Amino acid sequence: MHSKFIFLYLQSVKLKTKMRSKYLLFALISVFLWGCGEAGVESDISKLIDTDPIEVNVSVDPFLVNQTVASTPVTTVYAYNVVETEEFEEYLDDAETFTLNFISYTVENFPSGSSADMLLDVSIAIGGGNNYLDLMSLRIDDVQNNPEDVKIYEAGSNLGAVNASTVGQLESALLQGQTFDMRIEISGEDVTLTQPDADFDLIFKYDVTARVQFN
Amino acid sequence: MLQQEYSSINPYASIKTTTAMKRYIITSLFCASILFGFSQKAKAQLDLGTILEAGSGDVTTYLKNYAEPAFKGLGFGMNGGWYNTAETHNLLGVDLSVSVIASRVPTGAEFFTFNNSDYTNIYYKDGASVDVPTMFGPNLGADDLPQLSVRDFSDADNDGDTMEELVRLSAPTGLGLDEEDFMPFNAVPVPMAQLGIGLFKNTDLKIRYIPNVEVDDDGNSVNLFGLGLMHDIKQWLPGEKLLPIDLSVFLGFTSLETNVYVDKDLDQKITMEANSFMAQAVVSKKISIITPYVGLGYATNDVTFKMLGDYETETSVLTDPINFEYEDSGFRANAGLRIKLAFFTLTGEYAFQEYDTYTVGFGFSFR
Repeated sequence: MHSKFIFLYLQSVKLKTKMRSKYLLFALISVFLWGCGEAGVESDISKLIDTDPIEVNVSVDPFLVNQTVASTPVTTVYAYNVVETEEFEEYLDDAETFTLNFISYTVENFPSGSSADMLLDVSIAIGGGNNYLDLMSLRIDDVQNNPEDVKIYEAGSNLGAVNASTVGQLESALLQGQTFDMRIEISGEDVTLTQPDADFDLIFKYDVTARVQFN
Repeated sequence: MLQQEYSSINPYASIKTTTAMKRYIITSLFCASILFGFSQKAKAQLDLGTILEAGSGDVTTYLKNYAEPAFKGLGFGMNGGWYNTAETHNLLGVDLSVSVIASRVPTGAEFFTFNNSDYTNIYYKDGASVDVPTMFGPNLGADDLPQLSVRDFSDADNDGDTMEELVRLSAPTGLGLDEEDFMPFNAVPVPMAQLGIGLFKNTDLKIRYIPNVEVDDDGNSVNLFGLGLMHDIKQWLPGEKLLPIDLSVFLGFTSLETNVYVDKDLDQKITMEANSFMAQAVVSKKISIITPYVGLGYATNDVTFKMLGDYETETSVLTDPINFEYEDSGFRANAGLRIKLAFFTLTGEYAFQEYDTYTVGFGFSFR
């Protein structure tokens, strides 16, 4: 018969900012309980992890300003270490599975007065390598509306044409404490800009659940 | 570089024990064990300042609800085992008894309602409230537990939004005690021992006493004190010789205190104090070796839990951050049976109250 004393709590958090690190201490709940029998205790810990804003530039020749351009060249941007290794480090020993619940995107700061549709090919490289695996292709219509938190993948639903194999490899990588990088290849369609360059930000959010089992 | 770090939840820590019996024994000393466990874990892994950073209010509110069956069960249980007959001793007669009282946790106490409005930094995002297990609830898997969200109250990502979700976690599960084989129902066991002595005028004095015992080298301690008086009122009734029963009144008070240091050097400690009081009329009838008895009266109990000391967090120093109390009172009726073989007694009793209690006892009685 196994039983145990359990503490469930939020622990100190190492919060890295862009230029420095500090420890941000916080916690809300301290629950300690006794005993859990042979079944142990199962718990989910979920985090919505978002990338820092990914700066994207769309440009047209100056003489095409205020004209609709059918398509713009592909540009490639990257997001590195999307899920920091220490995010779930503390419970990797007890983690049984990781589940990618959903992915969403947000567009910010697209210049007013301009308009475009965007085509994105998203791929990921696990463990910092250069072997990028196709994750999904995505079209964002009317990016000038600065869409917010649009789900492009949700586990168990038909939403999004995501590469299931890549998702599986991503979940396995998280279980092994690995991080991953994102590569986004972006091109514009029906682009109308009020100036030659238009900069905007893309933010992706990954909702991840670690299922842990304590015996 | 794209990075966004959020809080991490420290994993559960565990201390393995060996048997269901041990588990129940420790559970019977619930408050002490929980405090000791808390203390040990706190020293080993837990930055208490971390726990309290987000607000002792939320911690206190959740913990009070979560642990309520255990503390209330303890409070009700402490009123049990005082007597097993209405017949008082002769002068200097004595009895010594050891009892185990099981306070049955009502089904309704296996869950409590988590209301968002009761919390500042924790919330249930799919509604205004949700039912979650108490400590004495079932041991549920993650699929059956609602997830509670933690707010980014400290603006960890420096985006100015302190209301966004930082992390979600399964609500703490119950212990699933009723799934164990040791007891057939969900109950808080409370052991008790006492000495009774006959005084003048058919009055018994009952004493429960454990001196302030340090249970380990860290200075963690427990003490218990209780006094009871049983007085034969039949003697004051006219025609008392004609009454074929024994009739007494009983008054009893029990106080239990535990003291567990989180950090003795910093004078950080957790204390629990439980007090119970009971006043009852008791009737019994001795039939050969069997003595059935019933009691009716009023009982109260209160249990106070405190975390004392100064706890330094990243942003402040919190003094005596956790303090909550349970109070209960109401009528108490009980019925029991004592079997006396020579000087030895065996007792079984059932008491009706908010947390019904079952008592079994063993002892001896002389004069």
